[in-house]
Amino acid sequence: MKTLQNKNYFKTWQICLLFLAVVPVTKLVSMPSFLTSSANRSLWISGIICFILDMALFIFMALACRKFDCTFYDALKNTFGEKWAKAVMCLFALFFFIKALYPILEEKYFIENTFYEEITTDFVFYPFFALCFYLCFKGLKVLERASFLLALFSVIGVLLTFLLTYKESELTKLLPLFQERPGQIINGSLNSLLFCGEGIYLLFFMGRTTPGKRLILPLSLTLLGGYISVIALFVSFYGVFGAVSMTKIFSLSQMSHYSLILSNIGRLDSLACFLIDFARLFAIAFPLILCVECFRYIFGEKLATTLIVSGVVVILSLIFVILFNEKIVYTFNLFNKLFKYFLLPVNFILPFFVFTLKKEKT
Amino acid sequence: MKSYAIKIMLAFIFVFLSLFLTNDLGVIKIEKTAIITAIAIDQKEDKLSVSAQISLPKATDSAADEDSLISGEGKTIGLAIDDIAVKTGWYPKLAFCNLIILNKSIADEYLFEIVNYVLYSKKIYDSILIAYSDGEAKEILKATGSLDNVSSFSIQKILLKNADDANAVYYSRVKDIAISLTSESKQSLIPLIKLSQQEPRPPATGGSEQKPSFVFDASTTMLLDKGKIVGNLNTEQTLFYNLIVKGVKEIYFEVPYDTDKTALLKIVDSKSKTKVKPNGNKIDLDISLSLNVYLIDVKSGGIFQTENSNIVPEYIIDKAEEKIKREIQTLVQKSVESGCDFFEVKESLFRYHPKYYKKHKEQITLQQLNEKIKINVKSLDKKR
Repeated sequence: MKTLQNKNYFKTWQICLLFLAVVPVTKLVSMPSFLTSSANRSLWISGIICFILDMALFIFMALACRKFDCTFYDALKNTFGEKWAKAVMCLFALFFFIKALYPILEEKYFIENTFYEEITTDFVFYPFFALCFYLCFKGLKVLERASFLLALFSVIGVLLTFLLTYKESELTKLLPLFQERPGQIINGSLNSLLFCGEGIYLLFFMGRTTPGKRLILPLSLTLLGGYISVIALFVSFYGVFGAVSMTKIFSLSQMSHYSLILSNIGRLDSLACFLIDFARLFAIAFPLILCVECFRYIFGEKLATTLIVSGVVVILSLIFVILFNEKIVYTFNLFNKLFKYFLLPVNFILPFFVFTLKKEKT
Repeated sequence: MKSYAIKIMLAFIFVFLSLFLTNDLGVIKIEKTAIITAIAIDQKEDKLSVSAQISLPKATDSAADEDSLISGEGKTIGLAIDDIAVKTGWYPKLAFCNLIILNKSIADEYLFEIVNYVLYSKKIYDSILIAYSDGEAKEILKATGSLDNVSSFSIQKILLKNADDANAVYYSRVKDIAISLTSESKQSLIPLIKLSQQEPRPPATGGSEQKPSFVFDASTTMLLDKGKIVGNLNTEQTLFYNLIVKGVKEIYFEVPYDTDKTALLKIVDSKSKTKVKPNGNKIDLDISLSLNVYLIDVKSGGIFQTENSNIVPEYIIDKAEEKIKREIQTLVQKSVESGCDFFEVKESLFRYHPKYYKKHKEQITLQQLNEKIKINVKSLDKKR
């Protein structure tokens, strides 16, 4: 049987571009609004705290990628044996599945409200699940191949949104600085960590990065660029909406709406939204792909099994979307509660135990 | 296994094609859909009356008339819009609606409600322009403008097009009103639209009588404090206010000098800075304005003379500076008298002097304003 270790290696630049494409775009829809509702005009400080945690996770996971030349599953197996390794994979599969749910709902709501002027049917969003199924079935290799295009779309979309926004944005709205209580700022960060923590994805790139290549520095620099652009958009967002920012749940499409250029040349802002949204589709499917990846380790890499697992995962997420349809704020609050007790430890604490794993079977 | 994969792939292709090529899944069919371009809000007895101007995509460019307006009534704006659906069986789509005209006489009562509706509604964008009407708001939408057959398009052209270059009118979006209402100053400025009728053109040979055409005058700006009208800025004051709050290009203004002479100057570039700082019991409002101007014409004894050079003589510059200073002093006086903090004094104190503001928040009044105005008019050296 073909084992996962023998698969092609991911090149450093592909990993950098992939994360440059998927990390910023997941933070541009409802995150600024939720940050503002806790931290008000200090949203950028809360954002920076989130991103520092995120960056730290990325750096440590990149270190793990350098340290281990075997896959995460193999390291688990070497340390705890096969049964426990499979149990941990089950936990991660559950984690990735839950992590994927809120962004899918957010995306559905965003697409329906941004690209459709009429009241849409739910049917409009369902093709996303077909794409998801395909991506889950094909695995991480598809993302690797699409990374350049996704990064290009993501960067152009973010730049275009910023260009359309900065002139309308009044940065003095962020004054006075540091007026919010530290509790408010920390609360804002904690409530928004749900949108972060993509560093954990790197666990599944362990043993698949090109041997001998440095990953930490290029990845850190790439992500730093991504985070700076997101913070710049957060600042612009508050500069545009000021005190009413918390009512703007789809900041990405709403903030570039006021540019005077649009009254003369048409809806250029929609183009930026389309570009970013294209990258978002892959970013949102990413945790589901990893969920199926976990099951691949558990059940082995058989085509029929992967097909069934991909189908089940996608159908379950579809059922979730049908059940929680339109209840975006309620779902966010629900997931935030769940986040504190399950997602946060798995996302930000558990990965650090990777350094205690053994490279080789003893 | 390979044949399975091909079958699955074919099934997917079929599903995708049927999803995307049926053209019947909620995508707007622009050729069949009527678009609302503007809404006018009046009061009818104890209810709100919302009139929606509908633009039907047609091959010919026909004039807007009363038939293109649909009205609905209700206790709230949401109910009035719903009433349109009840009457016509067609639920109005407001995604393309770019203008709200609100009858000035009911504005104080309903502005908050309208802003709230737009802010939270998913049907309408808050980048929508808002303007007051002098009389019935519906009459504005019924009128045919000279700039465009559809009145709302005419008004949008006046308010928005080339807003960077021509700033003789002040424009306001619902989002701006919402932000200003939640600011410390709680001031808002909304343009007032007045109708003035033009002489109808004589009918072409064999043609029918032309409809009267209207000009929309939006140069008056209403001043609001906490959402209530407290005064207005006339054309000249609006122009100078725009000069202070945003850098503008291409504005003409007259400067009288000597006894019967007037120079027409063109402002090609302006830079302004407003600074607010507490000074004992007073609050200093420093306004500095730098203008680059050309001389366009000189009117002497009732006759305009075209000058050979665009250079503005020093004595006209002095007069221009005096005039601008006077106008700005009038503006400050207007702010103090009306209570509309349109220089955002309180908001500036909150942003730049938060400790002082927190301590004296309740005592701060516009009467404490001590304006310091610095005008610097510079003539651009340009020969004709």
